[in-house]
Amino acid sequence: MERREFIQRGIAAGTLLMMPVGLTPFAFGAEAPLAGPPDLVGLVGGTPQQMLEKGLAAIGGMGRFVKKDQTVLVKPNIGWNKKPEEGANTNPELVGAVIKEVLKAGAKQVYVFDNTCNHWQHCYQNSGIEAAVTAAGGTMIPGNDQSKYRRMDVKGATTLKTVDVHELFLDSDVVINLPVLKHHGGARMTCALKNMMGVIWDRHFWHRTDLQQCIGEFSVVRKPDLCIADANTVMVRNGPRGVSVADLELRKMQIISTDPVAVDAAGAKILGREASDIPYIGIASKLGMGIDDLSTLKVERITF
Amino acid sequence: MKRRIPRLRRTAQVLFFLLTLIVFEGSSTGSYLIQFYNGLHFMPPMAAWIAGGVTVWALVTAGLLLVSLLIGRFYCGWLCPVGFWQDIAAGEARKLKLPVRKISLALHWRLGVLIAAVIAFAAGAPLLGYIDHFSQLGMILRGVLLPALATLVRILSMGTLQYSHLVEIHFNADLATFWSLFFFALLYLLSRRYPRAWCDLLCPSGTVFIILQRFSFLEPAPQDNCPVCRVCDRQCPVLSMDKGIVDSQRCIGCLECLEFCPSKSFGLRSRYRQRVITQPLNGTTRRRMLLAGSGGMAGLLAGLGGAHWFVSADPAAADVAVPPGAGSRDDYFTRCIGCSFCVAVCPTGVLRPAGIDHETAMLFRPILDFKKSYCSYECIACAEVCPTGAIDLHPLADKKRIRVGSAKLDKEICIPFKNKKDCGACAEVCPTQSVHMIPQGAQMIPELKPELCIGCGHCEMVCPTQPRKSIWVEPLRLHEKADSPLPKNPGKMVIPEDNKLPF
Repeated sequence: MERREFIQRGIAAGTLLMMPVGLTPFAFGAEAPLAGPPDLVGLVGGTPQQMLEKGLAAIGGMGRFVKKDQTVLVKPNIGWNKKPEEGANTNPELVGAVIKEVLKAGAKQVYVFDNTCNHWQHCYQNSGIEAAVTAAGGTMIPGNDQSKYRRMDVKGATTLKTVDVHELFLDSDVVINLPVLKHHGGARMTCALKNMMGVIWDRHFWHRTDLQQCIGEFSVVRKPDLCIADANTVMVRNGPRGVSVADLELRKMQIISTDPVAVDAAGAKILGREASDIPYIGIASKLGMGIDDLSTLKVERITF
Repeated sequence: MKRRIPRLRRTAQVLFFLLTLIVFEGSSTGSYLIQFYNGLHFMPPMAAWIAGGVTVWALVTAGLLLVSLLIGRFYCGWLCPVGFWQDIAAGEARKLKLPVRKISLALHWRLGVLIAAVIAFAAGAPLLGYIDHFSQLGMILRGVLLPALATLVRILSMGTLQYSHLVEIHFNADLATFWSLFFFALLYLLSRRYPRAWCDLLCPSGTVFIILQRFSFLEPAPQDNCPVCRVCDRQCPVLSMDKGIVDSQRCIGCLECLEFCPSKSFGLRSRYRQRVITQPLNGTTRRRMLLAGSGGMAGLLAGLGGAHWFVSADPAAADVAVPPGAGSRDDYFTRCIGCSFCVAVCPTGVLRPAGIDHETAMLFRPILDFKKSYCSYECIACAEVCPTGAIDLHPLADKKRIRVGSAKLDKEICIPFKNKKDCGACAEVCPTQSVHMIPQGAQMIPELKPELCIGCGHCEMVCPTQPRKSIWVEPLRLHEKADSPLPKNPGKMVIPEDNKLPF
């Protein structure tokens, strides 16, 4: 078998296998809003690890998403050469805790990467995420190798018709989106949907063409199996990079859901905005990738 | 018979070359190893002294000079990687039994070149870098050797070696790379016929060491029992012997004669205890030295005026940004010797040696190229390695406020203005939020706070408009101090009182 053929078949097989998992959240959302696990868990007041533990238990445990011997991509935000206390990247302790949970659920291999904005070595090291991932048993992969990005068609897109996507995002059995909630000068807010800009190659095209439309449309390429949004120290201005810790608010929150659109809608509220203020949330919702009206969802709130 | 000295010398040369590779690779940037290494040469520290920056590391250089006063050209024979390269070529020729010849330039001419170069450097023309071997060494390392090593390591490590600077080094097909390839290929060919051709002709560091060697305490010399068999005339790797008499302008202090002399006549002898027979310098008298020196000076001073006129006359001159710490463009181009050390260690690759796309005085001098990359806010690597102080080392907090240029915005082609779409690529990456997004109706548009801009070029690099960027850095000839982007009162994280889930 040729390598190309092997890869193509691999993708086909992987996609087929993934279908049931990808469809699960719809099934829950549409059929039984009042039975089974909640659509979205909001947590406040605990440490990131405490909130992760309770939140995962509430949503059905990591075992609901990760099965034995699967490969898992955990995608935090590692975009900036900033220290953990500067709040520009996902909390490294949370990243480590998620990886431990994933491995406990029986995953064969956990990968972590981001196509960073600052130099990737600086970002990986100074964010503390590389150390946390390695200590937890995961594997950090550089995101700067263009040959690892594969051109994909985007179904139903009017603007982002094709996009070069990292193979780990496409080929891993499970994808866990692990964003940090921040103000964002360009996109207005960054959380679950915007965090996916770190798995694609050509960000210039998005900015040049229609940033909001591209972020919204990219969500159809693959819906993450689980989103865990870090809203512990929330950057409320000068985002996404931040100038000093004065840009941060200690909110001690976390949002866990299978629906990235719902996560972003909840995140917008934490920033004092509404989902309708952030155009890409509505775009992804219209494409059927999630629900931006939190009142129609089963939300479980946990306060520490 | 076992030959220990050549093997020992080869080992020393290999080790020094490895040390050179290690420091240029960049992982040790910021450690004292760099200053120690830079001190182990002559021209780069001297360039720093002329520019006024004497540090405690000058002691290393002083030590090197003292060693030269003790046993002659230790640096040339045992350390210098460029000398090593010529020895490899000459050894090859010896194995193939190719004819070898002497080549030389009388010491007074060499001294003239040296004095002229030093005066020119002190007066502000960066001639020194073009003729000193250290710059050539740095250029081949940056352009050819490190990328080659990096490629090899990338293949062999198969992605396991992630956090070394080395895996990020790639070939750059620029003029400096081609020049250094050409220079070292030519030097190889020359050295096969004329051993140590570079050392014997031009090398200004070599000139200094030759002069010191003239007064060195110890020197290899035959005893009276020398039967004048002339074995040494053929065996000396640099052909410095004539009937057993050492030409101290040519001798590199390799000490191989101590072993290969069949009658063991050679020894390291004190120049001042007993009369050592050395060859007279070929025709160099004090008068000629002075004449050549002053002639060199006069010629150069005449050229300098022209060079300065050339530098300042070029209308495109303002279009080049130089690294933070350089102070001003003019200071930078007169102090930099073009060794490419900073280019090799720059983590973002924003530094590149200028080619013919810029004015002649900048040739091979590193400049900031924001087309490809940006100057990292949290980095002072270039200043930490610069051996001449052309890039002055400032503490990181100070460096973060050095303005090397100012961002300019063209609203005619900027996406939010022109297309009424969100973009914000520039504001996203701006470390000081000098460019930040503000609402204008339903639109977020970029706004500049020029007092905060440091000219890092990240906005220019990420700006997506084509073919022209709508935000770019206009370099400053004289660097400035930007306002601090930090809040006036010590910034603290806000801890909200009534913290409840808002959904």
